[in-house]
Amino acid sequence: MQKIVNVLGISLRYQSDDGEIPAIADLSMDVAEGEFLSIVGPSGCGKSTLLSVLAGLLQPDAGQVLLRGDPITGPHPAVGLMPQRDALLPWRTVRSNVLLGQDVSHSRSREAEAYADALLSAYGLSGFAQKYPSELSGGMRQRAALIRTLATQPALLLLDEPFSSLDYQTRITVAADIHRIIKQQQKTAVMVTHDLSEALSVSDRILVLSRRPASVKRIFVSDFGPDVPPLARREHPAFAAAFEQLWRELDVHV
Amino acid sequence: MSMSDTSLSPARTRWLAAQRRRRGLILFAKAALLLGFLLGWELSARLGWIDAFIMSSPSRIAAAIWRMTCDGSLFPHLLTTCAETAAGFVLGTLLGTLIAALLWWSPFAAQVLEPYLVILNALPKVALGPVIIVWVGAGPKAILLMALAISLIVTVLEVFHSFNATDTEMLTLLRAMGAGKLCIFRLLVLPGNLPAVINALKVNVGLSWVGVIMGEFLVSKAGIGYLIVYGSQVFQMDLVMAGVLLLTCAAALMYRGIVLLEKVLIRHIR
Ligand SMILES: Nc1ncnc2c1ncn2[C@@H]1O[C@H](COP(=O)(O)OP(=O)(O)OP(=O)(O)O)[C@@H](O)[C@H]1O
Ligand SMILES: [Mg+2]
Repeated sequence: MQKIVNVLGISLRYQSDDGEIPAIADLSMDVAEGEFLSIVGPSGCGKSTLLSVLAGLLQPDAGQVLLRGDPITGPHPAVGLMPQRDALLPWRTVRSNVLLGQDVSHSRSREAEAYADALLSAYGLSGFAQKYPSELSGGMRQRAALIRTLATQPALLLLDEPFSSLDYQTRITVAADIHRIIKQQQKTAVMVTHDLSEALSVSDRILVLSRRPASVKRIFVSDFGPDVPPLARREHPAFAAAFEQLWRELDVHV
Repeated sequence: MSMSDTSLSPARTRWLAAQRRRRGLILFAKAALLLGFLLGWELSARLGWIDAFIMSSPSRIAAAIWRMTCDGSLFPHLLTTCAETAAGFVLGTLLGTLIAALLWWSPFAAQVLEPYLVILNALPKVALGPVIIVWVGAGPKAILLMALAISLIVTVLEVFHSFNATDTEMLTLLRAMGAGKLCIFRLLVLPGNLPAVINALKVNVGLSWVGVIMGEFLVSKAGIGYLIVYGSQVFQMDLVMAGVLLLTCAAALMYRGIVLLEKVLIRHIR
């Protein structure tokens, strides 16, 4: 399949007065067009760092990241980031938050607004367009944050623990909801998570990272079938075994 | 269950009545305190317990204010001081916010200037009075500078610290969207820290009064500060007290004005 991202042997060390921290060491991976890839790994292993590199916010010390064949040198319009807490600006209405990307790139046009409005109504937020984020529930805020990311029409979505601020029950339904929207929009998604069952329920592939400095330890390919939605996967007979296997691979207890 | 006005529970009715009584009592006590103070002052003066020539009295203050109102000398003084103060805090807040923005823009400049700002902040600004007079002359300019000297550095430090405390996740989001520094400032840092700027405005009202009156003590030929100094020099305590009273009222009114402005600003700028 066509690759949208190629990560070729990147390394990254954080420099500070106290010394340097190797965060990523000789990591190679790729992301196929249209796939949902999850990244799991021990806490502090460098997952967010890897995502920042993909977003063009950090440059690796060595190696290269290609986006559809071209090296990433900075933030790119084809890449959209969805942060952990929704990061909706509290003084902007939901609609105006969704159009933030257009305000940044000075590309707020009638078409852009129409597209944003269409997304809002397609995903049940048109009634809340003129409300402020504080008036929305956690799940709705997360959906608004996703729509904000989609509104700039990126090909690749980067999600850093997008559901960790939600309580457990909301999280399962919101994850299914977000997964459905991303698949419907035919976007490629790379999601960092520390919730293994979440990773199993939404991903086509799961990348297991080693402890810091991060490198690829293993890649899991989902065998639930491509069109099985997250909630059905959780019910799937093979789910528990897959979870067990992933858990072992993570090696958290050592 | 919602509580409509028609079906209040007895407990709710009792609670509401108690609240009303309490509010009334507080209002009454507030008024009584002021009236008692004025009455006590007036009586003490009339009965000769205190020397009304030195301590003045409410009726004498009222008479002094009335006299100045009639001969038209009060209004120009009041206007001068209020204008100077307004100019002082508007300028202090705008300039302070601008400098804070520049420091946010350049972390290098911020690190270089931080110790100097802290030292300047600790300096008692009154000490600058004579310096300012020598530099710009004994006029309105000196008064404005005095007001600025007092409010500017605090504003810079306060606003700069709040600019720097901007949510990192929102910063990351905007950077990932390809926003440059100017864009981040315009879309995130400034609107996000509007409350801090308005807070600086509130603090600056108070500080500007201090600066302006201090300046008027030192240099001026008009204004309430001048009235107070003049009164004390010719030993007219009624005039001095009238000045203090007018100052209190003007400051309170201006503060209310800022609170109103805050509501309008928050609603419209964002
Ligand atoms: N700006 C920075 N400067 C120095 N060290 C950093 C910086 N950011 C992260 N680190 C360190 O690099 C390592 C990897 O950080 P990163 O945030 O990528 O990990 P993570 O896998 O996302 O962790 P978590 O599971 O907590 O989200 C951590 O040990 C962290 O302390
Ligand atoms: Mg992280």
